[in-house]
Amino acid sequence: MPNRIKADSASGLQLISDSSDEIQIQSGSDTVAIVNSNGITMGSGKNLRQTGFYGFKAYLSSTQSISNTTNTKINFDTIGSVQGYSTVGSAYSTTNKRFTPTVEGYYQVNANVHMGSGVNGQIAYPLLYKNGTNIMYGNLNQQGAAGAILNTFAGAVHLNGSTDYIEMYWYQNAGGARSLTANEVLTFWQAHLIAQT
Amino acid sequence: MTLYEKIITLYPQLTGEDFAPEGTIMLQNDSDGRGDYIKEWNHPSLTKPTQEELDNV
Repeated sequence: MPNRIKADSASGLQLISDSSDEIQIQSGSDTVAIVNSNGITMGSGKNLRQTGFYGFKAYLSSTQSISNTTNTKINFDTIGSVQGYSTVGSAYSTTNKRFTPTVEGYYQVNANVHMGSGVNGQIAYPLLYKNGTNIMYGNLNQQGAAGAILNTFAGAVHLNGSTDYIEMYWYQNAGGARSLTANEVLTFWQAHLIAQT
Repeated sequence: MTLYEKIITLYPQLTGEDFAPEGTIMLQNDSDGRGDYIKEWNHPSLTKPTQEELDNV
C-alpha cells in the first residue's frame, strides 16, 4: 500500500502512513494522483488542471509598411482579447513591442502575419529575435502568383525571467515596400509558458 | 530612395541572394524611428558603404 493523503467530507484530512516510497492523493474514494520517484501520475479519469495562464497575445492595430529586403520589427502594439489570453502586466510592452517575462522557463511562440500585394516569385517570412538577435525563422513562403501572403511562425524558446526578451520581425523581397495588414485575427503573435525552469 | 535602393545603386552587381536569408547583407529596421540600417555586411569582395557614400546617392 502506498502512503496516502486523503480528504473526505466525513473525516476531513487523513494521513495514512506506509513503508512504501509512493504517495497516493485521494479525494473521497477517488485516487486523484500518485507521486513516486518517476514523477506524478494522474488517477484514472483525472486531469491536471491549470487555472492560471502566463502568456499574452498582441496584434497589429495600424497598417505597417515594410521596406524591401529589410528585417523589420512588427509593431504588435495592442493586447488581444480572443482565445482567453490574459495579459501579463508589464511583461509585454506595447511601446517596445517586446515580451520580457518575469517567469523563467520555456515559452511556445506563435505568430500569424498577413501582407498584401505580394508578387510572383517573392519570399516573405517572420523571424523571432531574442535579445536583439535572430534565432529562428518562421514559415518561408515563396509566392507562385501575385497576391496577399499569410505566413505563420511556431517555435519554443527559453527565457530567463528577468532580462531576456523576444520580438517578432518580418522580411519580404517584393521589390518595394509592402504593408502588413492591421487585423486582430490576421496579424498577431502570442507566447505562453509551457514549462517553468 | 530607400537604403536598399541606395546600396543597389552603389553596387549594381549585388543580387537578391545577397539580401536573402543567410545572405551576405542584412538590412534591419527596429521600428524605433531610426529607420532602415545595415545590420550585417559580410560580402566577400564589396566593402560596406559609408554613411557619406549612402547620403551622396
